[in-house]
Order: sequence, then C-alpha cells, then structure tokens
Amino acid sequence: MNSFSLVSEQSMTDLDRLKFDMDLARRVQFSLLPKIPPAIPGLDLSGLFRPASHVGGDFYDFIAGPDQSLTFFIGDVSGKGMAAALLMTVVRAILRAELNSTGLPTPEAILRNANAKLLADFVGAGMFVTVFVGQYHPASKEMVFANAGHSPVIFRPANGRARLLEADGTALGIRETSLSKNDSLCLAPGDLLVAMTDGLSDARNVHSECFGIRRLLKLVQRLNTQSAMGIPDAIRKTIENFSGSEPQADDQTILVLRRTR
Amino acid sequence: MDVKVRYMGNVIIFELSGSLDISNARRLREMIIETISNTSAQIVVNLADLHFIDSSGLAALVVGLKRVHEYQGTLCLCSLQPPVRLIFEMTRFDKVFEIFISEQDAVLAAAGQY
Repeated sequence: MNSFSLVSEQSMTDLDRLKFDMDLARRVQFSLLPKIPPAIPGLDLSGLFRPASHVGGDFYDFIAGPDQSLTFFIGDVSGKGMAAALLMTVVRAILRAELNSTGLPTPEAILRNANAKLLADFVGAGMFVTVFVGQYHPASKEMVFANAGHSPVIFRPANGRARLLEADGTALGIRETSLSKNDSLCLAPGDLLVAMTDGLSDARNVHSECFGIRRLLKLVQRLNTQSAMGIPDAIRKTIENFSGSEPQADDQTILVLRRTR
Repeated sequence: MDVKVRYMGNVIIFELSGSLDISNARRLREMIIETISNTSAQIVVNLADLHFIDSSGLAALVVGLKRVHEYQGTLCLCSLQPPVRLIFEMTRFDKVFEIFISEQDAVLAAAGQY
C-alpha cells in the first residue's frame, strides 16, 4: 500500500463518518417534528418540513393543551445547515417548556419568556429566530396569535381574500424584550391559515426571480377547497415547477390549519 | 455580492450590491467587525444596489449593529430598494435599524448631526 492509497482510505473514512453523522442528525431532527397532528375538534391540521441540506433551522409544532386547545409554532433560525439546526432544537425545547409552565400562557407571554431565555445564546452565535405562535380555543373558536418577525403567514377566510398576518415585533434573540403582542381572529368554518418560512417566498427560478409573497397569496387564495393534508404538497409542487432546475436554496416549512366546522 | 468601502469624514460607508445571503454574509460580518475595531464606529450601509437579503444577511447586519453599540457608535442603513425594504418591514427589522431614504441623511445621523 503506498502513501496515496493510505490518504484516500483515510479521507473516505472521514467522509463516511461525516455522512453517517449527518444522516443521524437528519433522522433526529425529523423525529422532533409532529408525527401526526393532534386531534382537535373542528380543526384539520398538517405540516411539511424540507431542509435545504441534511438538516435545517426551520421547525413547526402542534401541542394539544387543556380544554382541547391547540398551541402551534412555526419558526426559522437565521442561516441554515447544522448551526441553525442546533439552535432550532434549543428554541423548540424552550417554547415547549414555556407552554408547560403554570396555566396556559398566551402566545405573547410564550414569546416574551422564550426571548429572555434565548437572548444570550443567540447574541453569542450572531443569529436570531423568527417565530409565529398561535393558540386555538375550540369553545370560543378564537385563534390568539403573536408574531416575532415571522413571514409569510397567510390567513384565507372561507369567503374572503387571502392576506398576510404581519409581525408586530422583531425576531427573538435580538432585543432584551420581545415586543410582539397578542392578536386574535375568530375562525369561521372553512377559514384557512397557512404559515410558511421564507424558503418558499424566496425560492428562485433560473432567471433569479423570487416566487414572492404576491404569488403565495394568489396560490393560497386558490387552495381553499383542498384538505389541510393536500395543501403543503400543492404548494411544494407549485414552487418546484416555478424553480425548475434551480436548486432549493433555503429550508422550506409549511404549517396548515383549517377550521372544518 | 460586491462591497465597496469609503469614508466621509469619520463615517465609514459600506456600499453593497447584488445579493446578501448565506454565501457571503459571513464576509460582510467580518468586514464590519474588522473595520469597527480598527477605526471608528460610525457606519452607514448603503443598500441602493442590493436586490436581495436573506436571514443570514440580516443576521450579519445585526451583529454589526451590536458591535457598533459596544463601541458607542451607530450603524444606519439607507437607500433600500422596494424588495429589500419589504423584507425589512415584514420581519420588523425596520424597528431594529435606523433606516434613511438618502445616504446624506444616514451619514448625518451616523455622525450624530441629524
């Protein structure tokens, strides 16, 4: 065996080990996503997560609470790949811990408390995380939400125009205090919420043109007859057709909630 | 992305063009940090020729902002094109940065004369 083949074998071993680790990290990350959305009376739920590489910094979550309420998150850690994925796991854990604290904290309180806990780590890493938190109460049919710099979140009333639920506060991990406030919507049967990450709105085609918010609004407007389960795939396919041979540049995540009755 | 650096008095002006994203955000971050450490901490980032910014690009600017604050300095943005302005507005980063329409106003603000 000459020195050349020794170097090659060593390199292959390192590459194999790296690939093994990345595959394992990917499996762990996917295992953190909801396997099946919880059964909440009157709601149809679904989600999709497609990292740009093995792992990513996006996440979504559905958590059933007392009184059959539902709390859900979608978030996007700046950047992508392993660094973003590591922080994504921290954010998910802290958001869940906030939710499990005494009582049922509102989305605004969840974001405020999570920001206080995440700030030092995110400042140290020079990163941030955008988060949308929603909470649905079946008794009142009310969805309370708070948005820390997250976009695009689209609300499509059953008989109305799709519109953005814009953020009123900046992402977490930047300021000492999260300024995102609770807002609310009363959901009617057929109302649809599609929360996504910017990997979808920023998807490009071969002419370097972004898919953009306007196309997403039009797309969600047309999807009002689809089941929640079919919507993420319909969006994904539309974006793939638009992008053509252009590779996926950023993580793409979709969370869908529809009131059925 | 191309970055040009020039000075107007004590104010350092970064002119960005092209796309600020994960492929080049780290380079900009390091350039800003290096410049602040060695000279003054009054920065203007002119985005007139920037047509796209992603979350990594925003993070690079946030790191720059935090670093200038450590040096009691300022970092102002100016001349955002509509697609980039939209990203700042939708993510509420327009609340984090001082943003000016013209470079002249941004330079005055960075120099503490606005």
